[in-house]
Amino acid sequence: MKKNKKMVLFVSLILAFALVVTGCTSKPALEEAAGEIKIAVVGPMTGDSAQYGQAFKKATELLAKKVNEAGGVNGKKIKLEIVDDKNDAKEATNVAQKLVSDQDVIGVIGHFSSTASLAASPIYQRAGLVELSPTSSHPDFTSQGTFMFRNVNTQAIEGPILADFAVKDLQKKNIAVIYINNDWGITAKDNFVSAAEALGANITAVESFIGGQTKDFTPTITKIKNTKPDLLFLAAMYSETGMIAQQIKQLDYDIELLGTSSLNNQQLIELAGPAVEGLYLTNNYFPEDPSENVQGFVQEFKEAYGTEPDQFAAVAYDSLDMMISALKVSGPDRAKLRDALAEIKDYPGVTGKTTFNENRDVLKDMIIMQIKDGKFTLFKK
Amino acid sequence: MKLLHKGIDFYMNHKKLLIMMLLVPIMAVPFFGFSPYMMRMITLSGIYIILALSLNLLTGFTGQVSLGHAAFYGIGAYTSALLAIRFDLSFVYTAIAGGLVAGFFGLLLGLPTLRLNGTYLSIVTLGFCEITRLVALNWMDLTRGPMGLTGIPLPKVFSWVIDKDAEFFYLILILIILTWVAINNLIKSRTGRALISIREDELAAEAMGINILKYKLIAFTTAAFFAGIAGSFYAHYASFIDPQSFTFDESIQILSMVILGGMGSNLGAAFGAVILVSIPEMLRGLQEYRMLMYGAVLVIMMLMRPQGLLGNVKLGDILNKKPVNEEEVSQDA
Repeated sequence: MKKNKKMVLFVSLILAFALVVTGCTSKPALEEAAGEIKIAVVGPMTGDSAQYGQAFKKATELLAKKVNEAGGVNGKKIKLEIVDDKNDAKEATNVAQKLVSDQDVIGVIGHFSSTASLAASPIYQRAGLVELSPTSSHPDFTSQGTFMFRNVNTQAIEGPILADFAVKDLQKKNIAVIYINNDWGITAKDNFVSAAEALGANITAVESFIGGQTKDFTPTITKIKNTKPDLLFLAAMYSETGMIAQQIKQLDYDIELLGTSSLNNQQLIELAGPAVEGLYLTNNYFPEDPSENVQGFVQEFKEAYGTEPDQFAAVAYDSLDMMISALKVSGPDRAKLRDALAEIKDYPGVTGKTTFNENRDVLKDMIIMQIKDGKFTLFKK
Repeated sequence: MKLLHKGIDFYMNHKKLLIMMLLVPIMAVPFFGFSPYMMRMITLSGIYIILALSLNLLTGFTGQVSLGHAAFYGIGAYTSALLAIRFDLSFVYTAIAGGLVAGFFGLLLGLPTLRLNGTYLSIVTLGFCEITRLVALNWMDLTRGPMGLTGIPLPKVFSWVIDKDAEFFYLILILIILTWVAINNLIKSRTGRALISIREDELAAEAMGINILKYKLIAFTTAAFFAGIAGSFYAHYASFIDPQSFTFDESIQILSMVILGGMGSNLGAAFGAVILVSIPEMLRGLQEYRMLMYGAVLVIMMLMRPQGLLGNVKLGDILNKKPVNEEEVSQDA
């Protein structure tokens, strides 16, 4: 009897609490909406990939504050709504449904991973709300509808740049490939391999691994060593690249390494140290870039948060800035924002000059960098 | 106490009417003017109710703790997504096919587990869940691996395309009722009593002449079948699936629903599903502290009700008992 009463009390408390919480979130938004433009920033704010979501959050909040202090967009203040999707497909669709139901939300910056972006895209498309993902590189993402944009070069653009550099600049003819077995890794590998083969290179081996699971790469490396390549292309994230580089060193194997822009992270050097010395990679954001807007951004970010912004912060910053410049043309209207955004050409972002093509995929300039003396240095512009 | 007995009498006399009255507000949910977001949460809860009900048959009634339920869910989702994409089949067929294929794998998994008990069985089911995920991840030609399946068509019931929130709601409601009735009837039958006896004491059950292999297989296959149907609905509803949606975490989530709701109680499993789906959404206002609070709520609930919300509350027994043996009634209540 007593226990039952307790339980009833407890359950009703939870329900009451839930009512309060849900009640709180929806009401004030309606009242304040008049002089504001609401933009949602969605990403993994909690969970395994929280660092990326936090980078989104920091960069966009920094920009919104700056824009609002300068008077906002056509006199209206930017109001950001930071939303967590845990990098999970189901949560992403829930969040998307919530955002499209809120008529004040004019545009969405997000989601982080292609899985989340893809899962949510039918909902944004049906409601006609812009989904501008700073980081989703899945080839199918922007073809899900007319409201999907991305602000990251797909591997269809990056792959040929890398292949061109490997074959023409480095003069390598025999190339081996290791790739991470996910949507990004597969497209990175495919685009690199086909471009390199078209330039007359010989692909000696193609090996895959499972992200977050494979820790021992020695069998893969031994296999690759036997095919005698003179360059190893890594389509991997920095954590596994660090492991691969270290294990190559341990096996006393001497080979030049080439990676994608995903390796542009200080952690790689901290993790692998001398093992990644000499590694080449593509990039479109470089904190030491002397150009004015990059230095301005890095300075502001350092002042606000005390750390140097990484590429995820930079690309989220650019995404919001592009959306804001489109809003200046379109005003707070979902459909007009889409049209204005699609028109953006040669936008001078901190991640390079940016243009949307007819598929709303982005075309960005890329530079080649090399790790030298424990630092990312510019190799070729 | 007299009031209680009067209530029970009233319930006994008007059982059907009362159940119908309960169904009316549920049927009318789409007319309450909920936002599309609310409707999505309700539909999502519905998917998990089916998953929790089916796992409850296996874990709650038969006592086989499975950590691989997400695998059956995923198999059902992939089967029906592929059938719908490649052959443009109606939901009626894809759902049944999804259930049957999942059920077949349930049978396969059930076979070697005859010799296993308790934690050993759990580890095998965990392994099965991982195998399924890795197959989905690496069988590029069929599943497109980590690229996932995009553009899964909306469910069609023969020529009727389901695309409105209300229609999705009724579809999942029908599936829940079918699952509930099937599992409930199974539990109340001779088979159900055999399953419960296996949970209580496997050796004793065998000594009484119960064919353990047969009944465990029935439990595994049925549970997998309904999980497959839930997966099938999810695939059409979400229109995009990839192996990440059917991981071990998902199995744990479903198992938590069953345990939290109360093992061996269908109503409890359904409650558990609704609560675990809605809490993370209700706590959205807390931003970064959301999942922390979610964990805290789980811990507190388990501390206060280790047997689950409706565990040990034999609602059915109480209500079905004739008010003749008054003493027992008052003790139970």
